[in-house]
Amino acid sequence: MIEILSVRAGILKIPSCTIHPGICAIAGPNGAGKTTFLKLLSGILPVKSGSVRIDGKEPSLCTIGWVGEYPDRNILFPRVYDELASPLRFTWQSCESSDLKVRKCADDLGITHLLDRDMHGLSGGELILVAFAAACIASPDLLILDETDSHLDERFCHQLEEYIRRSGIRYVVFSTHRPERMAIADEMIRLVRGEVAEHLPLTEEADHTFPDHLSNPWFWRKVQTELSKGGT
Amino acid sequence: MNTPQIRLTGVSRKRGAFTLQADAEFGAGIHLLTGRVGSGKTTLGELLAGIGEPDFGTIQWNGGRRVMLLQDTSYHISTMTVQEEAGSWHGDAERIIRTAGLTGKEHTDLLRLSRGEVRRLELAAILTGQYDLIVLDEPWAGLDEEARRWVRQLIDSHAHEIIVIISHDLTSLPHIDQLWEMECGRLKQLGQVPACLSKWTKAPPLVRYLLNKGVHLSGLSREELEEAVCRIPG
Repeated sequence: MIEILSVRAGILKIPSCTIHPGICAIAGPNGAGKTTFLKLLSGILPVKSGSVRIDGKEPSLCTIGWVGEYPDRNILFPRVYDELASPLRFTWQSCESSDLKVRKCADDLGITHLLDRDMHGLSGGELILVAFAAACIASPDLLILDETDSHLDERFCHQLEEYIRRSGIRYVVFSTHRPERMAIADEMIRLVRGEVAEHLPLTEEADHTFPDHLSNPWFWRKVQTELSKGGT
Repeated sequence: MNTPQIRLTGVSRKRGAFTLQADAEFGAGIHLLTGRVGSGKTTLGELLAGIGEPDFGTIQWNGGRRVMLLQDTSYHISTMTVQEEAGSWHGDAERIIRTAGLTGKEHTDLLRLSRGEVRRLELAAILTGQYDLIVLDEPWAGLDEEARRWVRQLIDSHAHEIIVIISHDLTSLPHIDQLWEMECGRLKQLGQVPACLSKWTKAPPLVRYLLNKGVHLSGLSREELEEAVCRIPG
């Protein structure tokens, strides 16, 4: 579990909140504290009062992967291969082992052909894939996606979701403004003015007492399930 | 008033292994350009806006050619405060600030605004200006539901100009007149909305779902989609 207890940080006021292993979506209006919340979970924002624990450990002692809306702002190395290898090299993994992991990760995400390319000159979508790969390569305890879907098409989002499910990463927390993206989550937290206004599990079978509506994650779940059954 | 029109004849542009090709005519109205990530949508937007030149072919204008392009907002700030930034556009700073809902924040440092507020300021400046063509590349990125509604309403009042919206976010749209698709660098005109929707082979899941259910779609705007969802049988 990720356990947040009596936290006050920036705009956030959270008496208690528990996130289960799986995928958690963070929703809420602009300025509600979504990015602050993600920073809190990742340990980027240290807590002055209260505590955050990921399976009992402080976030700063965990391995965290982070992909933002504009990954080109966080690039460290000019070559794709080196960018992918960097999280492994920073933790003193051997060249042989990191080379194997880079090639496996690139293969899983279908970006082997990009390994020798310059980061500069990649298309927007390629850049996100590389940033995503670099965030996942060190098998993080927690993967954070901060509005990464803002510039992605439907099929692309689907590809990332499949990878996330296969990767076995224990916690994935993502923020989004797109209602249809909520449907892939196992639970959902809605923040309003720094407080948890809603915290729902989305794991049970779709409850059809919910009305069909574009802001309803269950509705999107139904759309996706029926389309995948039809094979279209 | 002259209705503006742009004609692209035999336009192509090569970048490495990628080639963009377009033969098209954009008239007054609201156009939606869809297509996969990396298919060339942003490049086409840049050619239309004149910040990129085609290698071959011509781009012809009829009826004025005042152009504005919205891309990633945070790179577009050129001053310190809300007042200065609004004043750096087309003269009516007060109207821009009012439209953006930033009245009372005139002297706020731009870097202290939220991402959504900066985007509202720029969209307000663009959409209160006198332009013949406005290209909006992912205008909803980073905006919440309320701000999305605001952008929609602002765009809806612009049917006399050419508005080209480039977006993957198909649940926030205003009323759309024409649908275009970019596929591996080739621009295809799918046609007039809603007539073309039933032939849209790469339609997003919601549109496919509604059509499979036999629900008639009167358009692609958020309101039209919501209304169609209410009519799902069963």
